[in-house]
Amino acid sequence: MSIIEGRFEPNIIITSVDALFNWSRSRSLWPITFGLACCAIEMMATAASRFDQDRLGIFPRPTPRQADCMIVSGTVTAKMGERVRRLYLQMPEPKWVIAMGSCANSGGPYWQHGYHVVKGVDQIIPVDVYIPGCPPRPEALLDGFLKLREKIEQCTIAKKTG
Amino acid sequence: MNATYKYFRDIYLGVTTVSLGMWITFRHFFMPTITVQYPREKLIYPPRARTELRNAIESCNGCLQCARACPVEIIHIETAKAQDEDNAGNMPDGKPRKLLVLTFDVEMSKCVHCGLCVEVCPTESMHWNNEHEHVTFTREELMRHWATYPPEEVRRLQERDEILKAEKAKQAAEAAAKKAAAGDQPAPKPVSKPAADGAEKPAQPSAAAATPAIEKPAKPESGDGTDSPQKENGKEKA
Amino acid sequence: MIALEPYLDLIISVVYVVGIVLFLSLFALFATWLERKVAGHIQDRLGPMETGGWHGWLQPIADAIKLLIKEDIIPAAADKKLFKLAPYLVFIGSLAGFAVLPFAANLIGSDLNIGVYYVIAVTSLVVIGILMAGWASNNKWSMYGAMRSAAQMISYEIPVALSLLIPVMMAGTMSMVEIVDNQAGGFWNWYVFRTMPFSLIAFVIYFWASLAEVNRAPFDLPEAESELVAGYFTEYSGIRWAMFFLAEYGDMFVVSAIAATVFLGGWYAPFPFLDIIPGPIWFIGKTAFLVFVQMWLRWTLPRLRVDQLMYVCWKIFLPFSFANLLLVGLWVVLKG
Repeated sequence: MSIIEGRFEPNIIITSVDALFNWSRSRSLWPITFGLACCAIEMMATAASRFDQDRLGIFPRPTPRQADCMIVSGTVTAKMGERVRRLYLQMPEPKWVIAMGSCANSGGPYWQHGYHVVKGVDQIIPVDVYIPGCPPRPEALLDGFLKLREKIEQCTIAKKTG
Repeated sequence: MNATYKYFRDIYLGVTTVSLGMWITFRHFFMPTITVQYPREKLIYPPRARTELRNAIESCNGCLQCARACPVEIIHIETAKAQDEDNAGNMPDGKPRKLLVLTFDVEMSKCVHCGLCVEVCPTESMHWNNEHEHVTFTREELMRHWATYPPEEVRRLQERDEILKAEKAKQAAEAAAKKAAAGDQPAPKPVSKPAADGAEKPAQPSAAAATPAIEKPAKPESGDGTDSPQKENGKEKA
Repeated sequence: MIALEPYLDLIISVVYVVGIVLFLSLFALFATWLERKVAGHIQDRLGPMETGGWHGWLQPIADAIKLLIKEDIIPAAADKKLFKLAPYLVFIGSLAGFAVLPFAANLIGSDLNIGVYYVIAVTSLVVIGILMAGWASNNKWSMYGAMRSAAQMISYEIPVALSLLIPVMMAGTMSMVEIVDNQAGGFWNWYVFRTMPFSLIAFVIYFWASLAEVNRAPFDLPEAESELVAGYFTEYSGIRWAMFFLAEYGDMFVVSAIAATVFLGGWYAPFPFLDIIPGPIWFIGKTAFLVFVQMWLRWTLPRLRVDQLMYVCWKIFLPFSFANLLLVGLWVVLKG
């Protein structure tokens, strides 16, 4: 979107285009199929019949090239951190990150003595939404997606004010 | 012959099992779905379900049991003794409030939802509130501040507490000196003490009056020295 | 005034092609929605529900717009020209199949006298595009996916062709329109029900082999998520991937439409008195039913192993197709 992004003043056309783009982006959030630890089990439960994230248009894609957001679901070890970062960099813009569970938020139970754990995935990639829980229930993950929608709806392709 | 039999049997099995599978999935088209459409309808969990941790601060008596039970040491509590001037009011069970809970901070981003704090809470003020909408946009928002005292008020009450404590320690030292002068050593008061502590006890008789038994089990972990304010407050509790 | 007379054919062709592309896009949008709904209800869940009111009917639109405005990544190490060309080649391969699909007696791109042969030929063009995509991506998963895809598409081409020969033999022509015309007058005249059980076996073999042709489950090894990240389109993002996706659904439509044409009586109604309903509706209805069966199969069966895939093709489909061909040939000769 770098061709048109940040070139125009906000006006009626830009805001309508924004509304359309943000609607489509927020309604079609495809996470990359990517689970690290026990939170991934809850992530799978969210995709399964009881909670059915497909209702909200959330549809996992296996490759980072076709994904819009990343659910960091579980303990990010220092070794895995490199891979997480690489997967994030492989995703096309615009992209979002959901930190799911205590380990991804801040290292969780390993925050004190975990020599091998990244103390929060926001140290290696920018995180948009933090979901507390260990692991969070599927409702909490769905709520994370709904909050991420709210965040996406604030995006604009117009010049930033100030 | 056997190979020929197997070949045709495989084909037969392939056709029949695929038909069976398709029949099963076809039936599922017409079965009622079990999906809970989350933002519109919500599941009701049993009260013990570990959903979102909350503390009803008005019924918290500041006993620090949750902070001590916490395996990841993320509950930070500071208390001060309630004085008459505070009008601290009563606990929900009708008894007067003895401790003011100045700060009650939980780093929810590190919480492992083990439920130990809820188990040990004597007043049941720590509880699961059966909600899920606690997603935040920043990590700082996950630091939960449940106490309602403003910072300057916290500082004032802590200072007052320090002064009161110093006075009390002085009184206790004087009393101990008086007793030592009288020549009879008081037996250690707490009953739940391990026998091994007996050697340590007579060495500091003055502190024994102010230090209750409950402090002891937490002692081996205090080597970290991370949360000295809590330990200070722990001594206050009788 | 310019004389339009010499250009009339050209104008009609362009209009038809544009119409087909529009139809294909609409069909792909509808089919993605249907696929998610079918998947959902087979698994006792709901599928898209929230986007756009009634049962998430706007979901494919949101997905399409999002894919259009997504960043277009071309890997630094890719063969850039081939990488850009491949999705269009795959799409053209699937679009070219539409040229000979008889939506109705007069609604056909071109009534070639070698219609069936042409379809078999152009759908093989897709293999080149897929190999190109796999090679140009410079990614091992893409390459594996492309090789698997080429292997299975070329293998399954043979049972497909042999099964399609059976209605061709019965009709005595390769023209799509004439094949359909020979099946006029009620479902008992359809080729799938004539010369039972040979043509029925031919239909089943064609349908299964065509699943492998279009890389659909249970033959979706080229894009097996659990083994190859996403097969030959691992490196494609945004609009280029959407082209692949469009081509996949176009292929699904083409193979189902051929099955409907040569086996299920094309645009004719199952009973003569139902002929008042226009032909295109019957044709698209039959095709859509077969597409639905493809989805139903996809969400029923697990993926095959590569050796099982080849076993099914070379040891089961191929001998049965040959035997079928022989017996139907005998039947045609004896009938005179």
